[in-house]
Amino acid sequence: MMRLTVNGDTLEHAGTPSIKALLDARGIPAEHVALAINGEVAPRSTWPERTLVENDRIEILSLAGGG
Amino acid sequence: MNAHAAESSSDELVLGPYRFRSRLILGTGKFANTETMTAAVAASGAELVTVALRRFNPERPDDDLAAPLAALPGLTLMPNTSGALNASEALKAARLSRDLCGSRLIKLELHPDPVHLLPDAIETFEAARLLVRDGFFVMPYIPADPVLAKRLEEIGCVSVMPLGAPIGTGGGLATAGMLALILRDARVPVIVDAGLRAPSEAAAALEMGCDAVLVNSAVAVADDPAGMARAFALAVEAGRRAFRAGLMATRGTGEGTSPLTAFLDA
Repeated sequence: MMRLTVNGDTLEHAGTPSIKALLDARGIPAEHVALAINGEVAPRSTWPERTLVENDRIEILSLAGGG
Repeated sequence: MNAHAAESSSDELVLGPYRFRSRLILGTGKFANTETMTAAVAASGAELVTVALRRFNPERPDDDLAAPLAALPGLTLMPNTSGALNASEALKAARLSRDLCGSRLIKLELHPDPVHLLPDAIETFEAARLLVRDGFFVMPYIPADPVLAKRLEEIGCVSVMPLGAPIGTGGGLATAGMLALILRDARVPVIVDAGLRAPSEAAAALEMGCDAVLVNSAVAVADDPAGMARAFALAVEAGRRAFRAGLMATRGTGEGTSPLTAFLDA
């Protein structure tokens, strides 16, 4: 178990400490989101080798309507 | 006459490496639902639409616009930096958007004032500098200030987007006098970004030499958004054609169009 903050909510993540596992566990389509971790942009190209650690703050963003 | 418009012979809207035939840019916010928005985009003929970023909401996955916009052919997405309050936040928002959309076009908007949503010129200039250096094709939403517009052009912005009136007000081309000064010297496309309410205002902007308009609220909150999108498309085309055809000069005295010979006395 690992404590993470995802979009402002604290949660316990049980799977492997990968971004893909986190997205899959929450039913989030990876191709439709961008991520910031601990305030820094985490480009998609870095996701495969990135390991999440306890207390990481993750922002998951998607496209919305806007002018 | 806007020097940029005069130089363009193919009459495409050129934004950095991007070329568009349509001079109507449509915003995707405020629509009642996704179907209404996509119908309006289709009716508008827009090839460039703006989008925003927000936290993914697992309870409302249908709010995610990536798939519905991808289903519309030939559309380029231009993310905005809405929500950013300063230059560093705008840079972060832009990088996140680039990762998501693959688009290097960014509509830079920094309006920390929640009442009038007026752009912060100082933070916008600083953010534009950072974004240009980071490889973005920057389109800043700005006050209709000719000096600022020129400064942003000089540091490498691919267009400037002065407001006609504050976002969402429907105030029309309240800044027309200053827009004319921006147009006189601009060498990048000048796009009226905010405040337009009626298609006639979009036509007027194009007639005076603006290169394009960005419309959102006026279409999104119309009784028939697709119908209004089409009306704006026609107005933008009419205005552009009129500008290229060359408007007559105004005169202080009357000049007849019919012969004034007094033949009735003959």
